[in-house]
Amino acid sequence: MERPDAQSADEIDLVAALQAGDERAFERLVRDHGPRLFAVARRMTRDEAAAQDCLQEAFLSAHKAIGRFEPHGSLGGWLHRITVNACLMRLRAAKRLAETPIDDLLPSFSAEGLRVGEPRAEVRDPETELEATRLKSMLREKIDALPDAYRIVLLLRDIEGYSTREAAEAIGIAEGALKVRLHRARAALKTLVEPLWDELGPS
Amino acid sequence: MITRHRLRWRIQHWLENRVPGLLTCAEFQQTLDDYIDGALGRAGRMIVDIHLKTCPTCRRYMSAYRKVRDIAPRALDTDETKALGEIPEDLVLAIIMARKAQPDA
Repeated sequence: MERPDAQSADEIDLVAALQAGDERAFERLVRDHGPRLFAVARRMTRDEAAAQDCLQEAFLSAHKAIGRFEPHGSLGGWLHRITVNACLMRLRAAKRLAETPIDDLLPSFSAEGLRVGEPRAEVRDPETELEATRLKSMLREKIDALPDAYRIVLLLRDIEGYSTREAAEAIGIAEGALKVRLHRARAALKTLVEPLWDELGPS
Repeated sequence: MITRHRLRWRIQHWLENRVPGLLTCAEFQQTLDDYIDGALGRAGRMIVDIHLKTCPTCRRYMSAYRKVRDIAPRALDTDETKALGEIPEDLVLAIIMARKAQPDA
């Protein structure tokens, strides 16, 4: 979703200039790709100062690694992965990627494996544009309320365009564990959102 | 073809004889994403379908779960979260200065 297409001729020239150590090419790289990558860093860290640090870290990493950049790859995609990794490193260092228990947000079952707690009536689809917009903004708010370990998995899979395998590798957990965590994130989100769903109607 | 009558009879048979293969709600929960993603084989899908047919609670759960699952990416994928075109000028300058302080690649 987030990854731009393969290289244009213009981009090939830019990469060549970067590999030659051209300072103006580096500035162009920052100005061209910075805004999109800054948005990535902001939504991953949810912190303006941290996002700025991560973006700087990412561009410095890119500067160091540009010699190894594959000429056939997408520069935007490459920078995107570097930025995501810079953010993940920071979150990991701050112990924000460790899974925290969210049992109270997950469905519960009896010893026989039956679902406990009667779920609510069928949730209805938003009927108007306004309702749909409200629903989305409510969801964003609730996604932000999730612990980082879960929120990040949702972001990587749903927004940053990572596959299960890529997300698992980036976070440093097994694919199976990633899938479980993603499911828990969605189940927790459902628990948080459902009670508010009916309030979406026109007010 | 499995008619509703035959299916009901089969489920009844499974319940009475405790034939393994019938899912509990907890097991259903674990297969939910694979089921929605179409990642279960034919037999697996059938077992989940049977659970859904017999368990209105899980049916309602899945319906709501699926909606949240579908809308979450769209909720995050907005101009606001992408914040295109916005980067503080002093950040651009800080990055360029930091690059100058580095040895060349």
